[in-house]
Amino acid sequence: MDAPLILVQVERTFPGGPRIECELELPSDGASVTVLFGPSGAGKTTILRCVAGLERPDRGTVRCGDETWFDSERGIDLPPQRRRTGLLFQDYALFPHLTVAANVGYGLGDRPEAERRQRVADTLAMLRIEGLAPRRPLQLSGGERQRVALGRALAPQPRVLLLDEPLSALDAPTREAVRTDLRRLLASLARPTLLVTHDRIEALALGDRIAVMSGGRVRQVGPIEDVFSRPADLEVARAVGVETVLNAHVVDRPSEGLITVQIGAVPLTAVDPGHIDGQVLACIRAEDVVLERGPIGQVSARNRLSGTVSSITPEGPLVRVRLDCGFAISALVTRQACRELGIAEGEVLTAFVKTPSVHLIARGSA
Amino acid sequence: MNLDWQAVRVSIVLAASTTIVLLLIGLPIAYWIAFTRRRWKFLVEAIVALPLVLPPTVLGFYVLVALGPRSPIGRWYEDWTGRTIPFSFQGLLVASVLYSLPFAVQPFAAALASVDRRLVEASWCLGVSRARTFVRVLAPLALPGIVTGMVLSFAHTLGEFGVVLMVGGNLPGVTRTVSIAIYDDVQALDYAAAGATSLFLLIVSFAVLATTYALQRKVWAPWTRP
Repeated sequence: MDAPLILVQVERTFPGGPRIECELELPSDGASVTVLFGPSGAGKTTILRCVAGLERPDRGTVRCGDETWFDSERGIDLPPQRRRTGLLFQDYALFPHLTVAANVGYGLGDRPEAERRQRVADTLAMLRIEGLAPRRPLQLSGGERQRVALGRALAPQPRVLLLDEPLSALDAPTREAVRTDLRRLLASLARPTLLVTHDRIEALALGDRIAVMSGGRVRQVGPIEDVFSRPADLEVARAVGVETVLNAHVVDRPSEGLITVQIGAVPLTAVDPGHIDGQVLACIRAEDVVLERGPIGQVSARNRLSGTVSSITPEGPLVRVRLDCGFAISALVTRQACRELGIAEGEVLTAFVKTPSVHLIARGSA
Repeated sequence: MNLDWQAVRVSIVLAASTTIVLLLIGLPIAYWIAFTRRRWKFLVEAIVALPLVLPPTVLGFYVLVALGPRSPIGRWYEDWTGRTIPFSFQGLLVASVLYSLPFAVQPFAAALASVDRRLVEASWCLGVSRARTFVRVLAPLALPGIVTGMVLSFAHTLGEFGVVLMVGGNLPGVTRTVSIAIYDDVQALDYAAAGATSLFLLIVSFAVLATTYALQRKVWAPWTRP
């Protein structure tokens, strides 16, 4: 892999408040969305502001490609104007006294008039909001405001897009629709993106990579699937929830209300949430997976997965058993059950997953 | 009508000049007060507010001492122009600016501080300099407060008396303002002239204030955040 596009390595202590430490890289290859995920107050927004240049870290470095944006030892601290990140604020922070077109064109002040007008028109067209051009932010719905704010951030073609809780200002029904749209948009933009959220579904739906923050520190960074199914420690497991997350694609709708997705060569049946197709994420909570060994009798569970035990990790009164059945799946069972079944590494077991226990999350068009 | 038009002209020119000067020096001071994180900001705020509580005679006295021919500033000005500052229109202007400083700076600072800080940050991230951000975002959104500060400065200068008397004296056409004229008329027992001038000042002041408040309510109401 090439050198990372963005390298953040900062420390910031608030007087009388928490201490935030962060080490984070945004890969330079293409267009991946890195999600900075963690509970409220974990310091996610502070990190974002440090990258944008709005907050000054106590110590550390922020680099973008071969440019140094911040270096406490060399006394470098580029102002936000010279970093030119595309920052989307949580409540969008549109200029209320300017029209939509003027908002989108705001960062293009140094370009000739004709080019500026063209760029605004192109941006509005890309976001499919041409009709809003003469309106003012107060006359827009939440979803429209988000698009305008995105347009304003994108028009000057920033090297990196920074999104701070992009969906939290929206009401629940709007959020779902906008989420799918946003994923599609981010994928088509092909621009490195750092996205902050405390919402698991948002992280799963929008991210390619995830950095889990907890207690003011980044605990684990990696592809979404890895981090969710192989949390590095208990803190991360607690933050992301005990769940197996698998890349899957929709293959069939066998009967009313049911849907079949395929993970590698293995099919899984789930309840059809509607409006999904192509690539999806299949999420299975470890506590919903039932393990059995020996001859299989009649069971109601539709999904039977046979595999070998790859690891056994005690977690308090429970044991996390990881099963390799073409892909990795986690099961959470009691210590007693583990003893009685005689589960050991290398054993072959069958995992049962009930249809309603497979949760599908749309990933937009692949 | 036996209005003293010469005094009216001096008053209005003085009030207008004071307002313009306060706009130029008051906005930077207000910007600093609104956005600085320095701990000793309160000292600056207290100094700006001083004219609210000091008797105009005290302020006038210090201006006289500071700008008189024996002070460094007074001497430098005399060497440069051949004139002295006290009892001139320029001296009167300096005193008026100081005297009306809180009436301009306080509304300016309150208006600038009430603008959502994220709008300013959004502008910076879009590559727009601090000065341009002030012109394109802060000033338009703080306009009601800026107008209020200007109107208050104008009206306050129109009605000042003590400072004018201390620093400007009573030179017709130069430093003799409306309020001094009224005082003179009363001293001379010319109640008709004093009454006419007073009524004029009352009407002008009321009209200016009423117009401003009316405009603010109508024009800028839709700008407030939901």
